[in-house]
Amino acid sequence: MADFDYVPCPQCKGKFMVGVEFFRIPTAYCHCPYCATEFKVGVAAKGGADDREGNQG
Amino acid sequence: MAISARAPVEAPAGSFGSDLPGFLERYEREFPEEVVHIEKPVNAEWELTALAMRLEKAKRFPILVCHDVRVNGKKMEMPLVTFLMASRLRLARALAVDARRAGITCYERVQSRLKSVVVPRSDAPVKQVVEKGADIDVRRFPAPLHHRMDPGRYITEGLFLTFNRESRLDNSAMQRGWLSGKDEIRVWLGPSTHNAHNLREYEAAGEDMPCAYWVGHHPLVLLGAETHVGPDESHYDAAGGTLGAPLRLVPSETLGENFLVPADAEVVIEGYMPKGQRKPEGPFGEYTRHVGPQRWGPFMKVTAITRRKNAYWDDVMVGHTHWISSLTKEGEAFRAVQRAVPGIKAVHVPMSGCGVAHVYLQIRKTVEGQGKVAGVAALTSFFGLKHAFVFDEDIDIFDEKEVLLALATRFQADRGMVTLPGMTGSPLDPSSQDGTISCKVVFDCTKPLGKVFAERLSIPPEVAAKIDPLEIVGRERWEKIPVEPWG
Repeated sequence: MADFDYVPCPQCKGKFMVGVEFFRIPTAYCHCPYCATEFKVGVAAKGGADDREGNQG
Repeated sequence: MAISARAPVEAPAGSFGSDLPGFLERYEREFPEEVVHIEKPVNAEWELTALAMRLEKAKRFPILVCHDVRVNGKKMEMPLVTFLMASRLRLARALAVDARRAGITCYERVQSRLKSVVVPRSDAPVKQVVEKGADIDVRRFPAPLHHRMDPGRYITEGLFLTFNRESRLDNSAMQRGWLSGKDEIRVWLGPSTHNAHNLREYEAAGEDMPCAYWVGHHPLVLLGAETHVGPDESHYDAAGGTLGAPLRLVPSETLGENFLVPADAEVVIEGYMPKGQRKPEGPFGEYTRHVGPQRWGPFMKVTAITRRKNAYWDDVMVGHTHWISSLTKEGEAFRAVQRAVPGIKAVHVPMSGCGVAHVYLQIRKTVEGQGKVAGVAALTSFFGLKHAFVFDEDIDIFDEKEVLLALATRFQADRGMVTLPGMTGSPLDPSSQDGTISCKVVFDCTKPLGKVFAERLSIPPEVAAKIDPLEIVGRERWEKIPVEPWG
């Protein structure tokens, strides 16, 4: 695979696997499978639009 | 497609009925020990998986009917069926063939492609209950939480259904769906799948894509519907072929009269994928027995749920034993090899290769080089196949000790190995370091033609036949001697 990385949830600190697209798409956000916290990584975390309706990006 | 007159359609005798309830009833009548009804409560969270893992280790694969599935302590309305497709022997019985021929027979039956028939709503068991609007809540289904890192409960043995925007041809595929909200299911569409192609077409036209899940049907219907067919071929007709009777279809409730769904399914969930919209889905424990990462992908807004009054929820334990993948690939591989190497005798896509990655071929070699040709041909039959092993007729390809013996004693890497780097593989293969790129390999384990080769050990058959170890050792002592798995 290797088109993914592990990210830690900022809330519960649990690590889980996310695809590389989450680091590249400005509107993408991750969903923690352990505590359901949603957060951004990569370019999205650096100031991508906050759009919980999930535009394709 | 016009609605036909009431057309009672029966699968051939020996198929055990033509829908899931019929199959369960008739199969249990004939093989009662293989249908286990669990009345005690079972938690949807991991307990079903734990049970499946223990049964798998014991190499026992009864159908499990769980009548009391609990989610957060609450008993769910529907009973759950799992392990339906976990027994190769059971599926072979339904196909009325030896277990070794099940994959090839499945393929042969698909070729008959029986045209589906459309029946009125009054004749469709899946329309016994219809829920729309505020009544919709997909979280009422007893879908399990299968593994750690899964974000929630998933549809696993449901067929995700779309119709090609131009040709209006149906496409069904077992694609995972996370029950992420009351009326929302997040779906992972592998990028090279026909359903993903259909979504791209709708989105390119600026339209939402109508779609549905159909859950629960006769095992032969599931096999046929999941078979890899061309983009210009109907999965419904293929399913009719494997069942041995035309599939009965009925118009949807909310997606138009031309959006046809299986009339004899247990549950149909109708909806649409909003164009251009994406949400996080996964991670999810996959058939590779490893976790697949979370994806940024489409989701389904549910517009209706229809089901039988006493519907079963059908689940497959993803990442554990089931034969859907193997059987649907064996026949394709057989046909691909047959065109190039007429002496192909048998094909086995073993569970040890996740039912996808490995293929064992048994051939009668008549020309040197046919071993490698057979392997390459098999690898082109499905993108997920990664390693092809080719054997002579004297190797039982359904016995992995025989397979490994042949690898140990008949294979030399500098003569018998073909590597094919840079090919499309499974996007879920943990060993791939570049997305879907895979290096495929052929291991030619056939003996060289025209050269002397050592003979296998043997004794006169009449001597072998008259020696009974049970008689010599004694039954009581026999039972106490430990069985050693590494023997």
